[in-house]
Amino acid sequence: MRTLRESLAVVWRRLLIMVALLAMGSSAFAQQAPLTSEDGAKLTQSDIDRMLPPTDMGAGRHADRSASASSASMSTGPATPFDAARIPANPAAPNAQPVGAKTCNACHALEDLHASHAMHVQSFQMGTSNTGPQAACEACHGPGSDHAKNPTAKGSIIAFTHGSASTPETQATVCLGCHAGGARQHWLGSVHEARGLSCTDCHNPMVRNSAEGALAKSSINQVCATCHQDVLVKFNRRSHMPLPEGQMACTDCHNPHGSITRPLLKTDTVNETCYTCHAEKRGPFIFEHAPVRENCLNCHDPHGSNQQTLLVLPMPMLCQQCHTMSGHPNDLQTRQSMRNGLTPDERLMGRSCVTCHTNIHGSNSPSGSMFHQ
Amino acid sequence: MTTLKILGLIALAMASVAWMPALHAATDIPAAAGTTAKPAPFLDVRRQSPNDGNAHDGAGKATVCAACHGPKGVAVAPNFPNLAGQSATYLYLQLKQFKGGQRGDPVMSGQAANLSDTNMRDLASYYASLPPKTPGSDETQSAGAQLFLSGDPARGIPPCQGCHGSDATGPRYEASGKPQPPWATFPRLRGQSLVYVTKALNDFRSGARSDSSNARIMQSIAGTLSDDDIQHLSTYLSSR
Amino acid sequence: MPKQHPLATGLVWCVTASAVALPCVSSAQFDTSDTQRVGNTQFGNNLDPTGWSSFQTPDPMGMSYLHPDQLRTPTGSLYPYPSQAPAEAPMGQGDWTYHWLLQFGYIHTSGDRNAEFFQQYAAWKDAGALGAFDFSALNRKTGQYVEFRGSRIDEDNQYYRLRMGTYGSYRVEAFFRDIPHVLSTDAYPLWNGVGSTSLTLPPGLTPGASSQAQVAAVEADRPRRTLQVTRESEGVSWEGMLGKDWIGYAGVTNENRHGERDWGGSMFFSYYYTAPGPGGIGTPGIQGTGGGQNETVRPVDFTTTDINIGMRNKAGAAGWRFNFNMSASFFRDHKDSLSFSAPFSPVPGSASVITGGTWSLEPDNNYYNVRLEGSHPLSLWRGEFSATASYGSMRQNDALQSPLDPAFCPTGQFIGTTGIACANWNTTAALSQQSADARIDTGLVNLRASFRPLTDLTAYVNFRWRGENNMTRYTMYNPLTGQYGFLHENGTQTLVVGNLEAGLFQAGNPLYQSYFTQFANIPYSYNDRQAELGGTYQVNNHNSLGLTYTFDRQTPQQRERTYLNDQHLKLTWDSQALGQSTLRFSYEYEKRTGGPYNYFPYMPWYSPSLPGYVQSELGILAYTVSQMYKYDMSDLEASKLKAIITTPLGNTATLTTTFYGNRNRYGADIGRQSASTTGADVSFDWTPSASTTFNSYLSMESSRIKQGNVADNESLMDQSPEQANTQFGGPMYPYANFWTATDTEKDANVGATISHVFTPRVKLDVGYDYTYSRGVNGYDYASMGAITPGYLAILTTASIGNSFPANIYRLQTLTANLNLALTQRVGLRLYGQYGYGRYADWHYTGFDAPGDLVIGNRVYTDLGPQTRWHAAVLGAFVTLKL
Repeated sequence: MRTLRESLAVVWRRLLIMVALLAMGSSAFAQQAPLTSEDGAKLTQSDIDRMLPPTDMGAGRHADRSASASSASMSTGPATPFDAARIPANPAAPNAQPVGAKTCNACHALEDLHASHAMHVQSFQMGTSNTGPQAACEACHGPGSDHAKNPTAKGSIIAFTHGSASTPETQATVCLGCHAGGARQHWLGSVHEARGLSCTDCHNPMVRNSAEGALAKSSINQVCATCHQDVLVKFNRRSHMPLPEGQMACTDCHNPHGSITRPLLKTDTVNETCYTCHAEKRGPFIFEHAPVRENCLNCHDPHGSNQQTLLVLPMPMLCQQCHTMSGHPNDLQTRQSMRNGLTPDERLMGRSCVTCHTNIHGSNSPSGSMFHQ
Repeated sequence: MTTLKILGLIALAMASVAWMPALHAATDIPAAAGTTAKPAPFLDVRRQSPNDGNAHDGAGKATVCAACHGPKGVAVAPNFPNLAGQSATYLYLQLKQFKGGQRGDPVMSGQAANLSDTNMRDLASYYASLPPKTPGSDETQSAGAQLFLSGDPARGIPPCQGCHGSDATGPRYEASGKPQPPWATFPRLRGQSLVYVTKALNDFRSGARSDSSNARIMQSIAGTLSDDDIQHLSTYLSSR
Repeated sequence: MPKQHPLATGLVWCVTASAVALPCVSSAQFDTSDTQRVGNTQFGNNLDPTGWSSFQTPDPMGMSYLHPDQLRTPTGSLYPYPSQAPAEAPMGQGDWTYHWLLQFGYIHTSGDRNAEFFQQYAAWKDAGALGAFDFSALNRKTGQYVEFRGSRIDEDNQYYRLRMGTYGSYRVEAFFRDIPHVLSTDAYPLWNGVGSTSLTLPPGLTPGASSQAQVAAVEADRPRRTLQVTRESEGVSWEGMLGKDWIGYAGVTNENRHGERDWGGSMFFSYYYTAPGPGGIGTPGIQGTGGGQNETVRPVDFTTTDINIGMRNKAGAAGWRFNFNMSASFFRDHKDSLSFSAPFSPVPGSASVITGGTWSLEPDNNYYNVRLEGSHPLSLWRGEFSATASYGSMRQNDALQSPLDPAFCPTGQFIGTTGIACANWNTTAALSQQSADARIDTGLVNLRASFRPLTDLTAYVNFRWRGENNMTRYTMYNPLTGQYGFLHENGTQTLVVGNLEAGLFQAGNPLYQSYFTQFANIPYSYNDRQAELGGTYQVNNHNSLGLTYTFDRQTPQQRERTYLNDQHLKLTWDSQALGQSTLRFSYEYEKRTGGPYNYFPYMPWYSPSLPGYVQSELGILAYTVSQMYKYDMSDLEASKLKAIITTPLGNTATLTTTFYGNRNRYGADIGRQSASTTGADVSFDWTPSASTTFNSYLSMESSRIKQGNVADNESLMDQSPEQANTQFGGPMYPYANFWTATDTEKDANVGATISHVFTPRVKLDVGYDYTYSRGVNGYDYASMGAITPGYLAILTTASIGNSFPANIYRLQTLTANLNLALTQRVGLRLYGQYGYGRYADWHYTGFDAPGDLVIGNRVYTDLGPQTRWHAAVLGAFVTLKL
């Protein structure tokens, strides 16, 4: 056993290194080319194409890139995927023209500094070093000339904050322009979409305040608790999954971007979701317990409970909701069944029913149809 | 075995570092944002409320000022700014910055040093209450007018009118529930002299005026301007 | 135990996919989809639940030179101030910049450091710890990046995670982590061999023949143990472009779970032997010497390997947005059985033939899933059509154990006076099949069409089918004896009761031809068809109304009802018309009905269905009361309401208020009758400046579940034909034996955190959380007939009362974090956490010392969580950074 595990560990490390090597193979070194610029009051697409990167983090030089980041065979294509990013139309400012991120940053210098440490603007800066700066600000906020001339005019750029004149749909369209499919496959019609949430209710791509996910708060759980405080506090109860301890996040089970289940589960059913971490419960067992296979939530509350092991009720009451069979299950258990009572009873003390019916999630024993083997 | 796995991961991290160009020990760390080496403390005017001085009291305190800025707030020489009709909050903040050292001027630093806060507020209100210098031409075709109204996106120059108003008389203001720029602190530019506007823009561009949140904005904007641009803008603003 | 491990296969898949994919990295934007896959989206620990606190010092300059304060999310919550950007340094002459941070120190615990709730997911130890190790590098030209972060509290609680890739092209991720789960710190297992598959009695005890006094004496001296399960997992994944518009992804995770947890071991009822005490009624009864319960300890030694591979299209292929995914999970249980020696004889007064028991622990299993998703725009009403289909199969074919263990029922012996030979039951020759051959297949189809016929109207229709087919077939038939059924509880039931309750059926054998027993597994299956129609209407700029109707038809197989119709009507109202506030309100009404309720649909799997079954003249004992409705199958009328109001206060504060409640009325007197929850939350966030943040919350919830049950008239059992009467109110289930139980729980949570940056060098975070839970289990009964008949001579209505003592869980936690920057590169971090907890649970009332773990023929292992504890953690760390 020991040797098998060790050999697995060896394989494991080798895999990690192989992946790293593969990744290294794809790196390429950038070349620098002199920049050109052209004066003009109106910015044309070709102007943009020749323009400088919007920010350079004080490096003092702006550079162009002609080589692809990925492979030599691609060098005739756009430098990076983000060069293809389009400036979204802003229905509220149909005549606005793009002004370029450098123009934006003249006034929004501090915003630029923070955004330059966050993944989105970093990506755009990298992408636009070849063909133009528009992507960095205006790829999300739409063309900026109206806003630059009169920043107080509502809706002159696409805003993603409270009281924005841009509709949630306009806002989401911007984000989905790049983030189509994948985890967002079922965004349309999902509860968060239908209830008018915008991407920026949970995400803030302008700063890096979270380890991952460009979140609006410092962790996923805090983001979710903005609205679902009642769920988060249930994790303070006696039995809970290690979410307050930072080991889990709401998104371990739920996909807030929409799914084909009502509670936005990542898999097709509650049980499939639970089996992902509790694979031993998947079985199938030769003897199944009907409510267990049907739905884990019949007995457990995954968000936390005041009973042991996330149970919705203490045993034996939990079991006695269905088990009224003749014999020992249907007797009323009283306080005298406790360890210090007049009639201490194994049906109540300690782990109650599962002291005997321990394999309650299913048994593979040929004598296990009552789960006590 | 656990330890081995951890070592493996760390080794991988190291390997990925090694894949990048050689690691040089970096001792000079770029200063974090917003730190400044100058002695005068940074003046944050983002929460500045509109000035509430007494214009009548200010009139009595303006005698000295009139020597340069004129009896009616219109300067006696082009190297002095016109104060008449200027934003009171802007004026108050400038005095405060002269006194606090965020702005330096051989004359004004000394003059402001002895002013109390009330005096500064009253003076600001007084000059704001005076009728501004009458406007000049109304042209929109000059290079300066174009810069003022449209900027030059190709060079990253934003239009000045966004904050200083379409007619350069000061910002438009629209109430909203959101955090707002301190509009009252943005000056009226219309009718300032060519010499003074040039000096101001040069001061912003060089960083001589950079110790307030507003000056930071102007420093960044002026950085996009060439000498010619400054000349054009100054000409346009002084002629108006 | 050379079990075929699938990891190698997974690795080959993954590497092959990566090798194919990486060279063709190409244009088109690539983005990642973490929230698509279950698990491992969060890396943090008790020292820093966010995993990012080292970088969360706000920039005092704020977000913008243009305005003070922070903007709000569209709903109205404040965005936190941006963190101060870490100092970066160029790497060589190239375009790389990097930064790193290392935090190391020592953790010290004091107080009741062994308290279960203190250790639950922390496994604190007094030891050196790695607060954080973070490294990140970025090439601003090429968009290549490397990010590493890790933290280690101890060997059971640590994580290390690497992410690297190129923006827009690919990302590779690898992690290693350990998560502890401390299940008990007060365990005194009687047995030797804890953690193994064989539990033996310590010296001085004889299996099946020890006296209660002997066991109690040994138990009182057993050493205290902690029962803990640790999840150690590692994974690697890749996601990247596979050409224009196609994104591929692949990942493997491998998890080893190891440790021990409480388990069971039944050797027939003990309560049955309780006799009245010398003081008579109302005084303690005397525990008998029959039966036996053994709270044992099982090993946990699992490996789970998950493989996920797929590709998706971002609307390149003729407007279709595809996602094709294959996943597989391989679970291996390295210790899939447990045997234990039992100290007591289940037969009062004589040594037992049966001296122990066995458990089948979870079998290995394999799971495969294929899934295809696609969506396409429709020209009609700016619509979109979306389809999902998936097929899955879970399988296991573990070798089955023999019904009895030869060690505990040796060949040559017979079970009591029944004449049942151990030799006929202690080998796998006694089985009808040698391996489980268990399989459940699942399928799913989901079709959806969404439309936007008007700018302010959206509508959708959704159909969903999901089916489950349980193909497992197992017959409890012993070819050696020709008997059906099984010997209960390791053979002890027949040992104690004799052939009357042997658990066996055999046609033509007068001993067994009338016995009512299950003889085969019941393959429960579920089918669900669901149709949903919904839409939202934007009434005006500030108000939006939504209505959804769902019809859900379930057709479970081998269950009490052949069909269930569940109807939901949901109304939503989202408004921004209340000043600056945002209101989200929803109300849902649900009604469930179904086909006729069959209280016993399992007859095909019970002996009366077998040829040769002879019904005794007393009839078949009532299986259950026919008026009982299981709550997943009963009628239901439910309503649910929720309102969330987010109110901006000025430019620096937000008040969020939530009200919610649900009422469920089940159409049952016997079974669950009703369930309800009512709650409210208030949270207040205040950020007066970049350097100060204050958050507080108050949550209250109360919930109630009520159930009814009826004790059977045990005096009729095997005595009267009336034993077959299943009617509530009949002789077998008389009204007089009716009882109800109500679980009433109240929860309150209060907490506040304040974070302040005193100077750029000193940052202090202090948090306080208080959790209060109180649960009362009350009961009511029509007469003393509701209780166990044997207790009638012991208990009185006065001693029974009408409730258990309250269950309590209270916890106060004070957490403080002080970060001191000594120089630009060197800092100190002090971490402190103090917890004070109270706990009461009537399951463990009276279990105060190891000597209490033996009562009658019962041996318990766990004293339960500590009833009152206080403990503190102190950590001191040195922080070094670039």
